[in-house]
Amino acid sequence: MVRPVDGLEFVPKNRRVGRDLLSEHQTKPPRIGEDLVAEDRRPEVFDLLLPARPVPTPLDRLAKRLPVRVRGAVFTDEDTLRVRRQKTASRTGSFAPSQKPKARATWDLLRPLLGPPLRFEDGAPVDLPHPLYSYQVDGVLFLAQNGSALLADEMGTGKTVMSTVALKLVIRNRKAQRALIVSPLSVVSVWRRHLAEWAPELEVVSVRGGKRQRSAHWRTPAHVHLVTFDTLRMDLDAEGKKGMDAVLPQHLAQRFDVVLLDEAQSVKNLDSGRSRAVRALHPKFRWALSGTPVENRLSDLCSLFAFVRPGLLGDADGLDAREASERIAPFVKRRTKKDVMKELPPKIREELWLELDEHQKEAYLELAELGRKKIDSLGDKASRVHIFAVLSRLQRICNFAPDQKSSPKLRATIERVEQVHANGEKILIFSQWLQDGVDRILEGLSGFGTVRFDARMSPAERERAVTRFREDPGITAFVATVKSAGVGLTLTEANHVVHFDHWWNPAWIWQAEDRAHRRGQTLPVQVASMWMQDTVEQRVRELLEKKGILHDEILGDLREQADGGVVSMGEWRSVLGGQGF
Amino acid sequence: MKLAFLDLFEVEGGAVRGAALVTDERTRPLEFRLTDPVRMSSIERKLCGSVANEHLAGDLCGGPLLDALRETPDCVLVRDESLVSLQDRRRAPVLWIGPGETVHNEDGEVVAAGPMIGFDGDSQLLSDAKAALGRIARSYDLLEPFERMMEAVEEVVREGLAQPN
Repeated sequence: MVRPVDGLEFVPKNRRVGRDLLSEHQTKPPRIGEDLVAEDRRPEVFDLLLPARPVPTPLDRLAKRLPVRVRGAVFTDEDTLRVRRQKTASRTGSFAPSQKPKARATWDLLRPLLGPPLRFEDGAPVDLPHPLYSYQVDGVLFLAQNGSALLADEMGTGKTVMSTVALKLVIRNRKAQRALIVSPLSVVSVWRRHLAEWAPELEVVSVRGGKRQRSAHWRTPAHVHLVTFDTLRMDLDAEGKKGMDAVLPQHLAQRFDVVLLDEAQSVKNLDSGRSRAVRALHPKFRWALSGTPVENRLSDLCSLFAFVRPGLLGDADGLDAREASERIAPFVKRRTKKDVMKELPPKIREELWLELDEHQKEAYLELAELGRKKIDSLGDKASRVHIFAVLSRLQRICNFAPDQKSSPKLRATIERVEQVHANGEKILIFSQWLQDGVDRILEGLSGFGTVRFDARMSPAERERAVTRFREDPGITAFVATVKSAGVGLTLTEANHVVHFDHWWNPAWIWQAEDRAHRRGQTLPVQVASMWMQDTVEQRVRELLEKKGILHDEILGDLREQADGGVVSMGEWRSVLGGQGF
Repeated sequence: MKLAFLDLFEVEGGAVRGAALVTDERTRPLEFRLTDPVRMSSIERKLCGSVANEHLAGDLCGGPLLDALRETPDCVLVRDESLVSLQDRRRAPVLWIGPGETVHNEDGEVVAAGPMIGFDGDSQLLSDAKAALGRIARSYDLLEPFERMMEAVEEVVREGLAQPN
């Protein structure tokens, strides 16, 4: 493209220029001759020359031609659009099954095509509601310039913002037209809010509801379709059976230029339906976001890259960490908060080691004895399932003795909440259990302003809970299950975190506490972990440490062997049968 | 200053659609209008003779498009020469714009480059437009919005989006 250097140069108007879209006028003589005479037809030209009576002529028709219809619209300015979309996102961010797909305004879909390409000034994109940090600009360009990209920045660095801007960039610059964002249910509303704020010009459809409704959603034109992993799996599964009548037929599934997997560790199992579903898509841009792409083992990474870069890693057989990291290096960007957010306040960890009370001890010893006998009786037939069943029941007793409303952990939590409340601050409390965790904690905190966030709530209820916690000064504690609230949420209003108990996988625990320790946090974050001495919790903690090293090995220096971190049956047995059990 | 970019696009079956994009000085879209496909019959074409293209471009597409605009442009830029005839009916100058040739000096340095403009009408309007466009063209590519319109028309044709709005 020629760029102006010194203004404009003018040329005479009669210079032959431009595209000649229209064919030249026919110069062949009119066929007024023997053929017409032979058929005894008077050529129309005679009527024109000698009109004995008024006869409609082509000229009359030309003169009476209906005016050409013109369609179109005046565009709303982007700020107004942003506010409107944000309100819409907060109102309809949930999966309301009764909600019918909203008809898309034709011209809203054209808007990004008609806007100028996203401009960069001083190396950073402009036309954004807030400036990006330089590492975020790097992240945006990394995604936009790579057809295969895993953005594996640590939680809280703004991966959602970076990928939203990257999406805006490729669509505005006409590298892509349609995108599919696949995420866990808990973060769908987060995506809606981010898209409304950072890319208000993009039309977004959330695929949700029953089959008929989802089918309509998939067929609704939009720049971005938002869907959960499981909905995509269900809708694509149906495709093979029902052809064109499928919820998501093949011709629609293959129209996406960009497929973005958020919390991409969700496809860590190569053989799972989720994994197969995303691999069935063939987009131009394959992007994945994950702060913890390796939760357990190297095969997680292989499964992820089967989508990001098919064929790059294979199935992990005979692959070591060094080789894997060398192969994936061009397609991975990984920054830690320590690297890029030097101004982020520190995370201060504290471990509270407590003792079982009398009720707990009695129940614990009884169950432990029963459990050990059961496992011993099974001999070699004892599986992880048997061991986990016993471990889980013991862990729940570490939280609360059966039929008891109080416990050492709850009393310690209440003390902490009192301090937080007195300081006018806020706290996140995570448990992996509902009845022996979230429910009883909330009962114990009945004297404080609290909100609940767990899997039993509808998306709309979850959205309201988050908004209340963030905006209502009377709410002190956010009590949630670690699985439901562990990803995607930004809760920087809190600067205290309590892990009431601990998930087997440390990645979930880190994800959960980073809801508070992320961009926007201005205070040091106090993270308290509660452990019961001389119980399975102590032994599980040792395993967590062991597995935590694995993550750093793969994504930290990408050098060391990583296959030693898988927890074996023997290790689980040792937890169950160890001293203090 | 508001700019209107006006162009014609050959679409399905040899028909033509006219499209108009009004932008601000930063070429951000304010309004977009598109005609239904227009096709002249062979009789119409014969009757219009040498002015057939001008009739199609000006009377059937360009005129109705500009009449339909709610935003009032200060300047209309066209790529198709046949649309320059709209100047006769417009107060705002209608300018033809196209890629210019890059001129090098003896040392091979670029001494002149940029869009070229053709014009037919009041010279005072041309003078005002030249000053404003020269300023805008230093920061923005004035030919690029035509590419956007082409993408948008392709999307309309592909998706059948042009329902009443």
